[in-house]
Amino acid sequence: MTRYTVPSGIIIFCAMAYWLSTTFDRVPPIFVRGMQPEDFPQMVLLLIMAISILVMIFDKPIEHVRISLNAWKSMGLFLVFALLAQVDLFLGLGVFAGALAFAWGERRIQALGFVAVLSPVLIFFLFDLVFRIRFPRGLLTNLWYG
Amino acid sequence: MKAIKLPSREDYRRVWRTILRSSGIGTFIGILPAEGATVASMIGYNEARRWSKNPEEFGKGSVEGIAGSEAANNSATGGAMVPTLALGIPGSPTAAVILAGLMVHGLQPGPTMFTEQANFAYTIFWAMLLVNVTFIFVGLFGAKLFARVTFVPVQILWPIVFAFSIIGAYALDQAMLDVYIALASGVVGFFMRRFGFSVVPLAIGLILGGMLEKRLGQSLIMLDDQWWLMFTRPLTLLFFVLTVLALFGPSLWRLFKQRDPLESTGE
Repeated sequence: MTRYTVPSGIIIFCAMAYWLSTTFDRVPPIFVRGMQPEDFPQMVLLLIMAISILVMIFDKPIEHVRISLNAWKSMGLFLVFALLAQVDLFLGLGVFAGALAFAWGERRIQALGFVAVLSPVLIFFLFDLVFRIRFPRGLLTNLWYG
Repeated sequence: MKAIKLPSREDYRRVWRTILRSSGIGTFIGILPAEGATVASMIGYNEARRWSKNPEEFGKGSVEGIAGSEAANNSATGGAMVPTLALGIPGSPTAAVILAGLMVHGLQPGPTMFTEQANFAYTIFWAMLLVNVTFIFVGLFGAKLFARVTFVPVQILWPIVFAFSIIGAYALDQAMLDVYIALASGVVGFFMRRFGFSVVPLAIGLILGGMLEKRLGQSLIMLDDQWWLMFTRPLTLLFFVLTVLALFGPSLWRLFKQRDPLESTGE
């Protein structure tokens, strides 16, 4: 990877987003309120592309450290969480928290139990009873919501 | 408790410039309506890193980084009181609560408060001074206790922080989409940091982007679509100049220092 990789990626992403913004519906002049819907995103995207070009020209090369196995494991667990959250948000949280603690070297059963079971349960009741937040229904939350 | 130490005189000597700069930034950001301590601390941290001689220490417990963000964070509170008291426009959520409290007690913050209720205005100034002095003692004596949270092993602490972050993202609008955006932002932020990009501008952009678009639309309506008229207003021009300086100032400063003949020859 060179110092051009990331700015190039950003420029390609911005160019695609810019193209997408050209497909926005135009608003009749009477409702336009100063600018068309695509104007602001296009302005921001052009600015980002200009700054990315400046980064390519002026920034010093950066030494990149290899991405550790733990980081990849954590990102993989993000995916597991996203899938399990479809079944139940707190099931996903519990499994993710427990698996992350295990992947980062925690082996004590009590600690794993605290992280995977007790903390999501406490967080659920804190937000449900104190802050009155209604969580999406799922396998576990239905036990409380009925 | 012995493992936790308070900043030494040497630390203060290293960071006094950062504290002054971030205090100025924090006060200024606090004065701006709808900004807050979070934006101030992020900008304070970013500017501390940009001007630092040791930017590589940031993210690893750098004293400059802590001073930069915390000085801005604390001074934004005072700054937020300026629009709250002078204009009756809260500069932060905390200021909005204070404003509501004042109005409940029959006081009307605004330009007239300083003439019609001057005694009350000065009471607030003195109260804020006393609070800041009290805060020094609370900070000095409580810091050792509060800092003990850092002794919790990361494999226990981070999963719990993650759970709070995810629930916080969900609780704002009670939408699962926000949870997925938070996850994606985490991955993007990781790679940005890995490749040497600061995540602070991205966060500021996310917070202020929507507001900027709305205000730009309003300005264009007021200026009858003649956007170049913005550059004829002194205040707008000042903000543009400050933005350009913030973007290019540190790079130009480094360039200027490199070209200093005495410094380049090591004399």
